[in-house]
Amino acid sequence: MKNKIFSIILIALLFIFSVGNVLGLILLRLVGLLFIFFFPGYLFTLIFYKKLDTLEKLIYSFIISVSLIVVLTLFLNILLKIELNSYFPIILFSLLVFPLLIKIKDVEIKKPTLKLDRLSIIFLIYLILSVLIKVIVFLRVGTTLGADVGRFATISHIFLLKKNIVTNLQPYDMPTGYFYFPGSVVLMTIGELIGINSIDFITISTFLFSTMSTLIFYLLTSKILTRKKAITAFFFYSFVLDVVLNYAIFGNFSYAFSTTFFLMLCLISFELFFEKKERFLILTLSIFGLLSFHFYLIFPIVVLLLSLFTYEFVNEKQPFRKSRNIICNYFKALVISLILLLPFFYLFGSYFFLAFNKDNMIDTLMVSYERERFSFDEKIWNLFFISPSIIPSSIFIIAFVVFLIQINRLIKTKSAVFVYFFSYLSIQSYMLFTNANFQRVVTNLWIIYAFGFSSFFTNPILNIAILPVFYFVPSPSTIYFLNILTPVEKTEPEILPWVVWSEYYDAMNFIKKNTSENSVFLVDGGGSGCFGASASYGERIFPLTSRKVFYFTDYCWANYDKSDYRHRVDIYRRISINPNDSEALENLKEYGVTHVFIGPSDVGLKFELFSGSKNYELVYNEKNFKIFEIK
Amino acid sequence: MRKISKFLKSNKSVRFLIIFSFFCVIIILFSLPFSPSSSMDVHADCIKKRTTEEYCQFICDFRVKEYNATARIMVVHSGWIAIFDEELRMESGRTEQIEIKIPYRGYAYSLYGGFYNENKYGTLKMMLEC
Repeated sequence: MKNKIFSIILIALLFIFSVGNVLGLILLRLVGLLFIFFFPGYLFTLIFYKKLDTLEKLIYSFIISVSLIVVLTLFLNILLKIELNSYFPIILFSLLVFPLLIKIKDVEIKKPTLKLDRLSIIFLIYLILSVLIKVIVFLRVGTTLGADVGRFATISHIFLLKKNIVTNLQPYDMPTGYFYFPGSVVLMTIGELIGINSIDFITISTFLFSTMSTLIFYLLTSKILTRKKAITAFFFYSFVLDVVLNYAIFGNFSYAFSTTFFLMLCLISFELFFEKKERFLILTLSIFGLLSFHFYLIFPIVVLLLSLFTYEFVNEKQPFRKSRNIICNYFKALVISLILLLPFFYLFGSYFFLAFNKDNMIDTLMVSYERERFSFDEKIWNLFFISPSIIPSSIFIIAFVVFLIQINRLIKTKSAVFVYFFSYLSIQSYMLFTNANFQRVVTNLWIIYAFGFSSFFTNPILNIAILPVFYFVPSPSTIYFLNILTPVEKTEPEILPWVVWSEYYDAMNFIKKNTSENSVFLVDGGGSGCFGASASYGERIFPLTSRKVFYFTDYCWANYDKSDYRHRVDIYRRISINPNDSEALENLKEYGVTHVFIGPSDVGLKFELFSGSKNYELVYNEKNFKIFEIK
Repeated sequence: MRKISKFLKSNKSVRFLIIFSFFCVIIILFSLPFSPSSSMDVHADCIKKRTTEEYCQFICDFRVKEYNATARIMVVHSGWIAIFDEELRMESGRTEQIEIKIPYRGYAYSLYGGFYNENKYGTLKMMLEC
């Protein structure tokens, strides 16, 4: 068995060297994905976690692999100055797997055993169905949506072009320094290095993180509930209440991926607390993963720990014994995680406090303008019954009520931890309500909602029968997404479109084939601080084609020349009013702008105003996408 | 002391109430620094002066009642795309006037104002139809 593993990994690495034709490229991508999301972690489990079952092994492999890829990339590039070029993945993957392969020669590997009893079959049916629906949703929307995708993809593409993790994004974009979560950009750069553009890589990652998080959720509920109830909870979580998918598909993928690590930490903490299983390595890598994708999940982690401490204080004869152990483990793991993040802080540390600058704080407050003025009732409604994509749902109300009526029973069992978690998280979410970024923690209540459903709806056939209902009932369900996330000719300009049109990619291919590499595109949108993104995904031109985009600066926490930024906004405004404004046109040329990109949802740049002008030549006009060349 | 300890050991509800209240206070204290709020009294008034086929011209007055402050005035479309972005220095009680010219689209743009000084924040929002 171990020889087989060795051979497979060796052949896989050889494939990376032998790329040439189309088939080779596809294999490179597949093998690359396996190295990023599976192999390193799998080898780790063979050495350090021999007693895991198949499902645990899969989850551990994923979590460990992603964390190790990020850690090693930070060390190799920032500290050892190894360039991010086409050889980098080979160095990275070799360093990750060969030391482990040597180590596993003495390890006895058991063949995976699969007991297919009735409950396992039900679980597998739920899993396959939920994955299938996710695949259909992704095929329909094209890629992960939203503004964050553009900005993170832009950064990771700049890393690729500069062959280094850098803080200065010029000359490709305006910031000379910024602070962002390293995992979100580094992982995408590795994706680009194996031949997958950063936007497609984010989409693939969204799918994988979402699926893995549902499996982690199942293992988590298995620690508290009977298998039958845990499978029911899994059903509701994976079909209706998938936090990771809900955030990621609408653009907040960084926060979503961090949530996967949060769920993993819940699982590890439960094992540590209730089963005395100390798994320090995975605890450390999960904390590292959580921090490297998004810091905000620290809030629910604190809540989780307080819930466990409360349980012990109320129920155990020797209070704080287990809690001390957990604090000790977490403290050590946190210190090591921060050490692993040192290369990142070495480069980005000086920008950490940008978020607390007055002008950035006011930016966050402007985003939260309406939320700050909500009444108490509106706040409660928003906290408990509305999804991040602003879908109010009766399913939340049912889940809330179902959970509440069980509290009296749950409080007498281990499930009391979930009751405490629900209470503390509700208070915390209410306190953080006006902070549009931090209040995201409230969605972790969905874990409790799915948990609450587990005592009812335990009939698997009935559950599958109610799936079509989710298509019609507004909710954060993937099945409801099939209903609403449909391509439309023109979206309302009030919101970002909920699709990436297939014709968009035709326009990108045109740009790649027919415009000079030095071309610069004026797009409809951008903005400073937390504001800004193009309604027709104009900002994605850069990561997809390497052509620069004029004016897109959508970074919450960055250093950039604000007078230059305002000058750019002014040019965009004047060109929107009159594309033939000679002064504005001259300004555009001074910035090297060569083309204008107009999409179906654009408000500022209007095709009719550019069409027929002697200053612009229409070079692309397919479906709803137009490209003008500036004469 | 021993009596209290004995009472606590024998009464789960009291133990729960103590620890729950204590942790709630911790959560509230922990969350407070991350929830800034707008407490600055700010005012804005915009009048549409002119409408052509190309643009609308607004004259907007901004005033902060009691403090000197820096203001960021932004007009956005599509939720968050800035088409106008200016910084103003505001003096306490004094009205600052600016002209905003935006493209005519038969559309409701949003005007955001963010005001700040050393200790306080103020925000405002209004619609500009053009």
